[in-house]
Amino acid sequence: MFIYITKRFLWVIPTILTVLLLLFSLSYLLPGDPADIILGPRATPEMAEELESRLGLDKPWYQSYLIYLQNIIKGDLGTSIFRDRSVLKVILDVLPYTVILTLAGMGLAVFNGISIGLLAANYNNSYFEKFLTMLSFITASTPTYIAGVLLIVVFSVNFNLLPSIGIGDGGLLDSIHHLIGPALALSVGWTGYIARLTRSSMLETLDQEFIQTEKSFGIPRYYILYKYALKKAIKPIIAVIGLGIGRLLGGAVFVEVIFNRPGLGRLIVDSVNERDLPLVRGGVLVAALLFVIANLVADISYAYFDPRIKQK
Amino acid sequence: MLKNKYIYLFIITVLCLGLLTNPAAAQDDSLNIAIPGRAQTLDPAYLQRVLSDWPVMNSIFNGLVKYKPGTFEVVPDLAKEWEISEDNTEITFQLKEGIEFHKDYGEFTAEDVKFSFERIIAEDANSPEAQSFINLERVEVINQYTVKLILTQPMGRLFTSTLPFNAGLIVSKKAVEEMGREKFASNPIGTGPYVFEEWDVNNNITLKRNDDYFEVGAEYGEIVFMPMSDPTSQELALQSGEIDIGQLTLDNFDQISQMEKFEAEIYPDLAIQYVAFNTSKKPLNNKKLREALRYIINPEEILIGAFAGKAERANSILLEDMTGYWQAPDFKLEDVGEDYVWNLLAEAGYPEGEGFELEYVTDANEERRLIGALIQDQLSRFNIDLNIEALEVGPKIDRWQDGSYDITYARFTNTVDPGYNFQWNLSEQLGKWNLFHWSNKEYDNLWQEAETTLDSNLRAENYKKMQQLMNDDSIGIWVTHGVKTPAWTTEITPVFSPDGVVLPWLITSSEE
Repeated sequence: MFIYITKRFLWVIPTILTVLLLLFSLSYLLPGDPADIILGPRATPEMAEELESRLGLDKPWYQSYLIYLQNIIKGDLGTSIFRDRSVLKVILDVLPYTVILTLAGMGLAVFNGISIGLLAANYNNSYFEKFLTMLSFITASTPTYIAGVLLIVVFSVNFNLLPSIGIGDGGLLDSIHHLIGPALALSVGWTGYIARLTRSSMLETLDQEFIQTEKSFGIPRYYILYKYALKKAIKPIIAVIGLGIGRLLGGAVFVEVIFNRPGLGRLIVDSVNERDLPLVRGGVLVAALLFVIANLVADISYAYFDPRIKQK
Repeated sequence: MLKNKYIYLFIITVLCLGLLTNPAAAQDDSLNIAIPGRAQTLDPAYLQRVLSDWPVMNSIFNGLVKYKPGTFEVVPDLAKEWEISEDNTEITFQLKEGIEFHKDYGEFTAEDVKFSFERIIAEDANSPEAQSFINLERVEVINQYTVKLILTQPMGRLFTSTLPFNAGLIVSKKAVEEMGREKFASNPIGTGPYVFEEWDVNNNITLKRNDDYFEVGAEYGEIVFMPMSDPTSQELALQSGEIDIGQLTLDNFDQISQMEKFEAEIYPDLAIQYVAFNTSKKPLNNKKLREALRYIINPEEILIGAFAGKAERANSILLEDMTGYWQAPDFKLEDVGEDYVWNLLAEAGYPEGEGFELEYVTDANEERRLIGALIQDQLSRFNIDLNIEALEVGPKIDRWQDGSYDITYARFTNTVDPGYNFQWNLSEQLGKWNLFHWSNKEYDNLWQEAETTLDSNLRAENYKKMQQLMNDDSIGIWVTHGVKTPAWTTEITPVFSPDGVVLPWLITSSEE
């Protein structure tokens, strides 16, 4: 196990280095004169010069790449062009909102998904099960963007039950109130996936001999279902949760834009629109880091719950 | 077990009810205004994006003069009156007395005026507004309430756009010196009808009413500017009552503006969108050919196709009520008939229209591609091939600047001063932002003369002549100024500038 984890950790390094190289080359790959694109016709020559030195375009590329790497190791992601603040600070300000949103989405997806999956397994081969299967198919194939707009139209515009924008005034209840819509929208796709996984995993488990034995001992049905079967069936589900985090982080971009919430995704979208290169670089780097960490956790938990993996 | 279930059920129900009631109860004394993007700075000397920065700054600061609400007419604001010396290079302002800066930053005096303007022209300022004060040499404080602007030569745009717009807003000298430039940009101190309160993590900007405002105070106690870049969520938030003023998309304009709860209006944008011919490159260096194209390309079809018929046709770079407006003649195909245009093509050396292909450079967004396709279709009726290249901003600007295109479509932001709007077609802008690649000495001289006079009749004359020169050479086609489409709930009565920008402190409640 230890060797496996170490190996996985070591793989992180080349991944991050590749991301860094790609991000660095951004200012060279972008066609056109950065000063013209970023600052427009209002720019004075002095502003253009200052910008070029800030983007490291006044030095040969290998020199500025080394400086870029050095700074990153020191934890300095540069300064945003339009915010006059350090990129790291801008990102740290909004990151908690993305983390909370992703966790809430994950939580909802797991809770709803497992519930639907359990019900479907319990009522196998009934019309109710067909309905639930259909439901999980539909949710699994609804894009986050569509789900978000639908939720707003139904719950905010028609019934006026949920707020459609913002994060509330900071109070706990208000914050949760503002989180319901976005978290639901985010969870929709993953819910269907988990539901289907739960159902098949449960059915597989229920078929096994130890369940038959328990049945023959006369243990009550719900006890078998929730205590013994679920305990075993849930392992593959826990293992895929880590994978889901990466997917949810991607979905969070749409949710943050539609529901007008602060967050890493919206920050990257905004900074791309503003052509704030240092901020784009920093934002994407942090997103990539989160992705890598989530995958690492996924792999390790997978190996933990299914020991066959690490031997491969 | 069973008992537990009911307790859980009870708790969940209570929680749900608690969460679902009283959503988005907009406080009556608070206005939520959507802006199309994050404000980038609140320091008037460094304004970046007019649409998101300006409405906020305009609520916090005053200038010496301002546009009279609803017009572009210039009236006194912080200044009581002013006198202009005979050679038009010295302007002496008498200031209003007893006006206080926000948050106890002291009384507004001549020192603040000197500081506000000189910080823009200072060498290390790096302010994009240095252009706006191009002829300002220095500002002299005569006494506490008298200040004199000393110019190297007369400056035409001083009163039309420099002083009433962001460059002319007066900041508190004490505040900027205490905080430094960077901190001031997010903690602005002015004299305006609203006081800056908070800029939160979601980039919402909250302002509170200035109860000591020197003119009639605002009705609403609080304004929150909310950046919303996605037009759909703006429309939805407007419908759910979470914002009071927002913009509609042209596609949904009719549907939403007909709803009982909303009002909406279409304003011309302070900008010009146009088709530019590259007059220095074959084949469009041929004036006859350009004339033919002016008949063939029909802007009306573009307005219907790409602007849902909501935008007005532009006949000048300028809006109709601006100094120097001159209506360029419309080259209508139905007026002269197709034969006339075929003849023009023949005279230009392309009898059947065939034998050449034109390069069309445009932006890679849907609206611009559509406009390109419409023009392509119009040209194809005369056997002219149009090769559309939709590019990202960077490569597009590259192509613009080295002139490797025949036709392009552009949108340039305007100011109220014509001098600014006409400067892009000067010879000195060749290789920069002169998209016609057109150079005309007479045009340059007329512009220069108009820049350095305060005589608005002379300026108007010159700008008209300049527009005639552009028209004579058929260098392009003005298409539209574009539109702004503000919508608001019927609970409020907003006031807008002629180009559709809301003036937040003049918003009143509709209830009697």
